[in-house]
Amino acid sequence: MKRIGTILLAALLVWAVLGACKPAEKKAAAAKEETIKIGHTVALTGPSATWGQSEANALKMAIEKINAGGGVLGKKLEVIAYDNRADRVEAVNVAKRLIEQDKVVAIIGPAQSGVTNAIREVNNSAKVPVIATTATNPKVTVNDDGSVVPYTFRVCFIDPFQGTVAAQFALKDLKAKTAAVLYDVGDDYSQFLAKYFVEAFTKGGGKITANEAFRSGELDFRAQLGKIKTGKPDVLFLPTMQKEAALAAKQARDLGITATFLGGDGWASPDLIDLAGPAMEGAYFVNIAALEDPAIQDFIKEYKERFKEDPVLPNPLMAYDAALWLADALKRAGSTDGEKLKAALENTKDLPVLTGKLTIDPATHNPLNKPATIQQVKVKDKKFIYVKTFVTTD
Amino acid sequence: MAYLEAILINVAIYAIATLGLAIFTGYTGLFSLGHAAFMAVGAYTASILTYFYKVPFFAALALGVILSVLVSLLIGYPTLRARLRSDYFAIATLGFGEAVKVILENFDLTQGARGLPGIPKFSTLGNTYLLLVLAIILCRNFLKTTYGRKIIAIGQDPVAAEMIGIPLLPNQLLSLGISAGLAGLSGGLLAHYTTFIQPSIFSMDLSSLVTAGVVCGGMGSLTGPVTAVALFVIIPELFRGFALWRLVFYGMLLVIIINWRPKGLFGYEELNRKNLPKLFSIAGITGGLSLFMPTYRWVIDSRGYEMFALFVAGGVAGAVTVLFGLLGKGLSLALAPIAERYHSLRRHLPERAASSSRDHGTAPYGTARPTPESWVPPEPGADTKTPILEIEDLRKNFGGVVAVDGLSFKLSEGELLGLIGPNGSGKTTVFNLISSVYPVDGGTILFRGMDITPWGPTEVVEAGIARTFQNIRLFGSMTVLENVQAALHREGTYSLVEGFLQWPKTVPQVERRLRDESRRLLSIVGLEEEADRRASTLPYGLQRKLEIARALALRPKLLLLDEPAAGMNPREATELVELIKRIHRDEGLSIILIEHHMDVVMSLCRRILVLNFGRLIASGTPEQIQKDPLVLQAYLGEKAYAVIR
Amino acid sequence: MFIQTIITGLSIGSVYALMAVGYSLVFSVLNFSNFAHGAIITLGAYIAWALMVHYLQVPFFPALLLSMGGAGILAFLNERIAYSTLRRRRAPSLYLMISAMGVAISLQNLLYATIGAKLYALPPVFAMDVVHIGELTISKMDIFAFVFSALTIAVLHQILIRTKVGVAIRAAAHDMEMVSVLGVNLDVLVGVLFFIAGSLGGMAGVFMGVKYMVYPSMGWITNKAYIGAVIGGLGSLPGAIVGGLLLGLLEALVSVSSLGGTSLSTYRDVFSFGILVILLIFKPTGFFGRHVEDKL
Repeated sequence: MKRIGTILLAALLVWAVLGACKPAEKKAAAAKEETIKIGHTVALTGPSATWGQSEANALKMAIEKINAGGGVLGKKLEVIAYDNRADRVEAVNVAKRLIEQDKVVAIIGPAQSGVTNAIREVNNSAKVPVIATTATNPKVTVNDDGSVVPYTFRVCFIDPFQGTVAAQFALKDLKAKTAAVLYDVGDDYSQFLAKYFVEAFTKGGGKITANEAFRSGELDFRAQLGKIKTGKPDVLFLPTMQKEAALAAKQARDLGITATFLGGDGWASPDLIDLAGPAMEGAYFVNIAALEDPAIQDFIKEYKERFKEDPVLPNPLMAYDAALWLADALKRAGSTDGEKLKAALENTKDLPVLTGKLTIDPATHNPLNKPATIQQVKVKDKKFIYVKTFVTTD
Repeated sequence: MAYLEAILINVAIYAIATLGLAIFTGYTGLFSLGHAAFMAVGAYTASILTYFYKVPFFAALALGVILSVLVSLLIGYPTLRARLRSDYFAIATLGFGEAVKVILENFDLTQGARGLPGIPKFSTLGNTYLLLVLAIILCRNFLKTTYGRKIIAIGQDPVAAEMIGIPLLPNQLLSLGISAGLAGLSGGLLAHYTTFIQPSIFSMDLSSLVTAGVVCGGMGSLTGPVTAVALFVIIPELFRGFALWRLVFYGMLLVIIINWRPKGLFGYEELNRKNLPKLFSIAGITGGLSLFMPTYRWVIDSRGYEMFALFVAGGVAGAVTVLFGLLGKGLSLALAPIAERYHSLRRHLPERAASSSRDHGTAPYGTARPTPESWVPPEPGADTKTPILEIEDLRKNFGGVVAVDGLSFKLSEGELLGLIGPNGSGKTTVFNLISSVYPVDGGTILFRGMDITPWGPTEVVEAGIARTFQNIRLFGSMTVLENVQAALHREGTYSLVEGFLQWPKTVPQVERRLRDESRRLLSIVGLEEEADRRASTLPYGLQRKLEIARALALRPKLLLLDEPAAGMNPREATELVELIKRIHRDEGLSIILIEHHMDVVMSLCRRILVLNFGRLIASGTPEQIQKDPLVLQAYLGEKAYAVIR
Repeated sequence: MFIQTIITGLSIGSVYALMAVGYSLVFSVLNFSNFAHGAIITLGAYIAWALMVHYLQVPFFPALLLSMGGAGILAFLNERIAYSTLRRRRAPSLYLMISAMGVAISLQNLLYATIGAKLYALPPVFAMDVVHIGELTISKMDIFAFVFSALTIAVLHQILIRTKVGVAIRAAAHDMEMVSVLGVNLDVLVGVLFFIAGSLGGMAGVFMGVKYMVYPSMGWITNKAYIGAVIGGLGSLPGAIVGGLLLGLLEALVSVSSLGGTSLSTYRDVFSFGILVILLIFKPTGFFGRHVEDKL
């Protein structure tokens, strides 16, 4: 009997070793020339993978274009990407690996606010700039006391804006008088987006009938939804990721809630339609960009040719813009030194990017003049359609 | 090499937590599946202090440890007091772990579920390893003291431990406190290394990692779990990018180990000369595997053939493993003569010291001994003819079965009474009632004039009653000597702190005295030659003798022997009779003897009680009993008796 | 709202109850807590997904039956590999529990590592998903699940009472050794037992997958189901059902309550696990369970 144990142990070891051999990168043709290394921390697996993989593809496209145009500072750019699974702890490990081992000069990503917050200490103490792609929580770049986080930047809008857009859309376009909110208490993004929506909606004269929360990873919201139902809200705001939104929508309809569903950019993954089914028909959400936007059609065409599918917006756009921004900043900084790069990033004005012209506010590291689009979910046609655009005013 | 540093620091941090769990689970035998909760308490406490209040690092860590210990006592008291069976206890700890996590998620100060980033990075290679070494030293010291032995005894056999006067609850709490403190320390170090914590880090996965470390390393060892956890941290790093497979690996390892090699890597052993080759082999395998990937890639880069690369890499890994294994064996052989000399020196030293110091000497047992506080001596001028034990109308039921049905008898001081009866007549139950294994359902038990009926097992021991068991209950993993030493726990008179530090002014002398006394007791039963053998390796007959020696160590006035001759051949039985006669006479004990070996009973006892169906059916001299019709009927059955009449 | 909360609670509770039966069934005979049950439930859901969505387009009912069978087989294999050696060796139930944990960890992460953490929805079973009774709504899927589970458990009950296998199982629940002495092949008996428990688990997994979605950490919910089994008394089948339903109700009620202004919904799990701990300390046999002591 003991021998079986030893044999099994040996077999286990052999299997583990062989299993690890599979992704041996065939670096036979590894370029021996020097490159400028850029890190990409992105969710390649997990519920956020649809965005993450699209983001990685777009970044690849962007870097290739930049390199084709001669690269930066006479060298080619090289992207080193690791999967952070949208997990905060994993992201901290990834950030350390990128900075300490791979010696990247800057990092593009993460896409989630909570994750970007988690790695803040790592990249800031190492003076390596991080450009978050779709992290919309204001605390990502600005501390509670108003000071800016020195080495963290973002290329997208922020949640106070997104919350305001959602609230104003609900009040003006949907003519809603009452709204209820169901948010994820374990997610920075969800919690604060809910807060900004509530503030803006109340300020605009609306009434919040219920403000309920659930624990991350929950599947069944019917208890909370039951409470929400009694207030008979016109709109149910679900500032969550697509999985929870889909479940909540299904369960809400099951309970007989007739409110219109409204959400944020966390909904924008195509699998929302698969997961939610008819419950989501006609729901609206705020997004950073839309497929129909004329300014980005070339990009979409190129992406489709290359990767044979539509990009999962908005991440690929944001990553592309981030790459353009970074390349430009490197050129202006004239070096890969962290401090100089930071200064160059801060002082970006009217840089032409895919989504328009990029101007950065040095006090907040946030882009100014960023648009938000409203999209509607069409389950039968299996797509999101464009409704209208809002633009930031401050 | 920042990467190597990261791995090493992780190893140290997890090793500290595993040390803690090893004390609790490995030694005390209580399975905790929620230990991550204590790491969480330590981590959050220390982080809040350093992040919000700028408290210096070590002070914050210390407060984290203290809070973890307090939380563990809060959780441990109701749970341990309930005396749950081991898997229920494990599940209760799981429940606690989850509950703590949810509470932390709702704790606004630390941003709840979203986590606390920006914790200052105070943990370094230096201070984590310093703390690890300190923890190892303290744990090892602890295990060599009376307190440690009590905990190990509980882990080996809680019933037997109680029967030698070790109260379960305070000792289990002590063990829990130590282990929670270490977990809290580990948590604090972890927080100040990763600089970001959130409640979901302290998940069941983390508890499982540490538990797997203890199980796979060997429950009953410190070296084993530390090595196992080191491997758990290092090996997945070799196959980077396979974080997810790592957990699959642990799970399968857990299943394999618990099914086919429950002793784990090191079983009950610590690092010594004999298992040095094992340690080197493990290091060799790890080293070999870590060279596997770079070699593989290098071959691929230069040649490009996968199969070839696989072979070469495998060859290199194998070569490194074998090399290390040989190195270990060689080292072990080289150290053999040195080790011998060292051990013989150590053995002679106490003798030399003893001859020059003024000890208790070999005073007759029973005279100059420290009195346990709770025992009240009988009134002066008491009648020496007063029976030492009076049982009156004793009753006990188990569900619908009546085990003892109104039994009454008296035992005179110094008497050797026999208690016989067919199987199931309630004899062992009587012993269990006297020694308070379970409560009586009716009647009284008077010992030396005191009503001990409501007393608990440890109080009964302190009053002066000791017993042995029908199915031997020794502390298998401890040596013969340690088994007896464990029973001398009341005479280990140094404090816990002194124990942790192995305080040179007090601890070695007390330990030496205990060892000497244990040897003396072993020599009474004739086991002094086997002193350093593991109790579980003793042949059956010697195990019984060890039980008797252990009972004697409790300085009893009344000794209850439960079928001591069971399973013995005639020669062994004769030896046993001589032994019992000797201790009866030399130590002045009163003895009650349950036996089925009639020759043993008849030759030892001048009075015999016969039980059947929980009732006393006869009492008298051996000759009277042998002729009593009721006794014969009870043993042979009515029909058979009718035949022979 | 109160009645709707009750309905919600019963709906969640029925899922718990179905899972809890699997736990209690194994516990009643082998006297240990089979933590791998959660993994079997998850695999049941994935089998259904593979059949209904990914590889084939099998309609719901056949897929349900196939998933139950598949899960049953997996549970049988699980017992063979991870428990049978320990069982033959009469190892303490704690060891069996640890082995179960090992299986659970492996299987769950195997799913993560191979299929990945992506979420999948099973195609909806009923076109119009709910039934309205006045202000209240009840999901059709819930009704179906409730009826089907009740039927299955009734069938199980009949099996336990009338068939030879059933009698053998009930006898083994009282005294395993005796049963083997009487000539019953314990390996076969235990195998059948696990197959049954596994099928029930697979069924629960499919229902969960339809109600919510399919993803690797579905097994976490089974921790809650386990609490339900403890409440009802480990080892008792009616206890498991009662306990599961009760837990679902309690959780729903806690989720809609507030204490001094703060909503308790995010503290709900503290209640659930708190109940578990309190029960284990004060009444480990729950409502209907039996107490098993060792002879000293």
